[in-house]
Amino acid sequence: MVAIMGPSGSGKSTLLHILGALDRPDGGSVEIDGRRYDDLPDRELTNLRGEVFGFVFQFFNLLPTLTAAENVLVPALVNGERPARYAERVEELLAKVGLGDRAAHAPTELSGGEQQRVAIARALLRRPRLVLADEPTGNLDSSAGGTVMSLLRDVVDEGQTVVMVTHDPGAAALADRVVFLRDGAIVGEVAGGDTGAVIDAFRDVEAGGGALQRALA
Amino acid sequence: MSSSGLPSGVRLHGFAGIGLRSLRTRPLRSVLTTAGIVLGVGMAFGVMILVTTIHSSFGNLFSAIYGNTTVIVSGKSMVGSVPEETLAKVQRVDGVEAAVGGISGIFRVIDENGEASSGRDATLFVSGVDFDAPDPSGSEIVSGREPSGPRDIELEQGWAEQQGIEAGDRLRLATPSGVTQLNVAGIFALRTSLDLGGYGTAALPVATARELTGKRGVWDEIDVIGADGVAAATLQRRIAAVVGPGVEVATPAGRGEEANEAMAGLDIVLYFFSGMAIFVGAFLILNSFSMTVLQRIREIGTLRALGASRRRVATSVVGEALILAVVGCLLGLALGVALAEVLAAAMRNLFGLPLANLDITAGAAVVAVIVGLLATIAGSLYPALRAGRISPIQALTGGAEIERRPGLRRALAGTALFLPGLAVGGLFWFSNQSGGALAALVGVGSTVTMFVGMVLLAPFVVMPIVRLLAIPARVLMPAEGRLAADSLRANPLRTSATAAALVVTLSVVVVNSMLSASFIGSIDDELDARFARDLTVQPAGYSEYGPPMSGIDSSLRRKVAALPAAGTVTPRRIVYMTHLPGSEEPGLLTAVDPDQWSRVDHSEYEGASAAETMTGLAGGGAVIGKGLADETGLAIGETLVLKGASDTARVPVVATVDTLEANGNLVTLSLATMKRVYGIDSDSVLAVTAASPGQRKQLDGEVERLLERDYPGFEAVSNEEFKAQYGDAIDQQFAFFNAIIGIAVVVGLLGIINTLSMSVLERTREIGVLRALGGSRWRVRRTMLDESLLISLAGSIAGIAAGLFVGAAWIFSIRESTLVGLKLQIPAGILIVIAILGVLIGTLAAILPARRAAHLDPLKALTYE
Repeated sequence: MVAIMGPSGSGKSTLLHILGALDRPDGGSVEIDGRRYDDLPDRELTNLRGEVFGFVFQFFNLLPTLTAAENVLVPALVNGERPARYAERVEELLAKVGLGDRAAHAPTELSGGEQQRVAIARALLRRPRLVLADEPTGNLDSSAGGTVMSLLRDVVDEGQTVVMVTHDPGAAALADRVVFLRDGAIVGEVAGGDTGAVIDAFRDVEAGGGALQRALA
Repeated sequence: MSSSGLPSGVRLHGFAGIGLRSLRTRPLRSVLTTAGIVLGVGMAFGVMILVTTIHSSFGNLFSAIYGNTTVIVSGKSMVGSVPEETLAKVQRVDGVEAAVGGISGIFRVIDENGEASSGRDATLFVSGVDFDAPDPSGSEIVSGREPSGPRDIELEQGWAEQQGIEAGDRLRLATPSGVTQLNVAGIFALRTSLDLGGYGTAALPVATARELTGKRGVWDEIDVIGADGVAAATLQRRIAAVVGPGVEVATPAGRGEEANEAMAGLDIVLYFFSGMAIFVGAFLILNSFSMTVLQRIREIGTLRALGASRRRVATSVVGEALILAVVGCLLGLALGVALAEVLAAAMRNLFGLPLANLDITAGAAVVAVIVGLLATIAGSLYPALRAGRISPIQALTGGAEIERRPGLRRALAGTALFLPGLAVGGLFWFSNQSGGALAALVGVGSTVTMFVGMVLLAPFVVMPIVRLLAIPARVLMPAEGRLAADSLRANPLRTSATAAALVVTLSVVVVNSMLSASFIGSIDDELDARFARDLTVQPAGYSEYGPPMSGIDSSLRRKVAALPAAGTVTPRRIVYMTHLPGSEEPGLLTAVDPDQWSRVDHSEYEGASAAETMTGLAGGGAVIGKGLADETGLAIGETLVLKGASDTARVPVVATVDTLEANGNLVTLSLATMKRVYGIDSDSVLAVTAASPGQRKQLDGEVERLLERDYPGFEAVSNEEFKAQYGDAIDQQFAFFNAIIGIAVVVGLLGIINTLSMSVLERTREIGVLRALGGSRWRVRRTMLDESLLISLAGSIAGIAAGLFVGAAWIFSIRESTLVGLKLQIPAGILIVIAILGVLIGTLAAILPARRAAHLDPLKALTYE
């Protein structure tokens, strides 16, 4: 799991969009598993989004008219697949995120944390190569945020790669690596695990990044 | 796992289910959109049924009446009568088994109060036949016996049953020669049942028919029964060789087709006006789905981020629309049958068409459904493409798409469609409509192009009007007025798209009303200038454009002339022809007495003085209307060829006359020429003057008493009444079309409700603030009402403006070409009605959305995201 941090306007979200094939870079190239995809036409980017990536959004972005289980199914539905094929997978994922008994509930009947857990289950449905999370705890209170983060950590421990943009040093500390961005460039990196070290590094980047850069040098 | 194999908590079977679900969360919008489709398809289907019914009625009529007839010999287009000796000529033709002459007339039943109603039920088409000859209709007596005495009559079964008349009854009838009483000898049935929509048919001895109609020395038609093994076409050819060129030799089926061809112009107009409802319905779909797409940007962005392709997103929007369309089409078919029933009843009553029961065909249903589905696809295509263009990033930013302001390109495109559409469309509607299907297609197509242009231009007209109307609204209600106006201005495209439905439909109403007002006003002026008579005697309910009526027997003319207060009494004979001489156009063939006519009519002639013109007519010449002169290029002194039932004549054109009557498609002859060429010698109307101006009142009374006593089927009308009747006949046609457009106006109303409820949704937070700050529910309602009124009034005003512009452009162009006397009249009454309608529509449309807004919980509204 990689966490991306940086002050507002540093390009975190843009990086995530480009990584997730939602946007194209103005220059340079992006590749995954040796396949370049910044120059693909929209149709192939769409396939990539469906098959290679899974997304978790800050505002959950569940479809309000669908139940929790139906929301988990959406990546299969947009790919034109039959829901029955995913019956076990949906139940397994909902159980994993601790919502096995809420399958038939509408998003409005779920708390924010529960909604984000449904969104994580949705991101995992088609076993993506990479899960991209855009401030997954940004809209949650700290307890719900904690639950969501430990869920993500579990997923990573089971072998899933996750890239996450976050403002929350506590959340970032759960990652294996924390990368710092400033003005669109990587200005530093620390290993995860220690919230204090992440906070110090982040303060330093916000202040101008001298200490970190010296340390890197 | 659930039994269906779906994961628990899942009831979707595929991607399409998502769209279906979202339709259910917007019930009002879904219902309104569906209602638009229902009305559009209903109107299209209804009119198609009506047209089929009109055509099959005529087809069936001829095959029923001529059950045993191979060939019919009569004047061209059933105008005029053939000389008596033609019968013998036809009888001698090889292959003719029997040829039977007939005399036809229109009588009216006199009820127990002594009144002769001019209604359809009391109108009896009679034919005088020779009961000893073979029966060309193939009818059979079902009760009583065949007429044997001179006062006997037999009635058609269907009508007799309707009227409760049985064999042995006595029937009092108003005939051209006065009141008569006949014995109902028997009731007959035709081979196929006959439904004339209320009119009756009857047969009586030919001598009696001659006596009652005053038709002597002629036959109205000769029905021929062919010998076995002789083809109808052969018989037609042989008979045509022995009769004059003005005599038509047709098969009953050919007659039916001819009658149907005469209705082709009406078909186009009916289809066009019903098409308006479909057009506006497609527009409602466009609007409704554009709003839905805007509202669901984040949802669609999410689907795109999760791997939904552009195409999948776009097709799901069209798919949602199609689901509504299928429901709408099915309901629309049911509505169509009901509308057809109403329209058919209106056509029977207003225009006296003998329409049978509705002829509902599967083909028409299929076409209506296809038209509905195509309109839906057309309407949902743009929102669908727009949905496909939503980028997945919009899932993250969730940003509402800022509506683009209407730009220069739109203005240019709008003008580029509107102006040529206006010009070409106008040419079509006011040229003589004989160009066939291609011309109709081009004409209707360019009129629709004009409407599309109008829609594109709508924002540039509607928004300034909204701004203007907002000023008084703000003064009257500072808070609510401003809120309403701001909301409308924030979405200029949506506002004008909503208003556009009203602009288009109301503009058609305005153009219609303007044309009818201008025609009526100009005809009034013409009649004022022309009429030198004091009153007109005519069959009750007579109209030149109306159903056929009985003629006036010479006995009535003589009796009126003998009244002490009567001065000049002179007839005018008027026949409607589907093809005027030398022309493919329909028009009126008229005849007057050149010695008398100047005393009752002061028409101005071109190319000759009135006196010279009358001398010319007396010498066998013809006067032609300006419309016919323009179309044929015939000039004064040139020869007009008249091919009548009795004779063919080459007559010189002695003058032209500038008249609005029949749009100038008019030929006037002397009574003698008409009699000689067409065999017609019964009068259509009598123009009467008082012996002296002081005796006018006395004349009125004398004529009134004479008619009441001896001629109850006739009426005397003053010049004022005559003008009013003439105006009513024109008005009724336009009113009928306006009624059809009314359905499209209702669809426009649905569009406003749609937009308003969207507006409530968007402004939920704003409404919450208003309520939290102590605004009453009434205030909230007011905001919605104001918004609604602003849209509907702006739409109505723009519609009136567009209608006046189009109407004026068209009237000026026809005035330049054909109808020089046409004066532009603005139907102020109708404009006021439309403005009131605008307020009414606005108020109606606001009811539901205002309720919804007023009942929002202020707390929930504030936290609404």
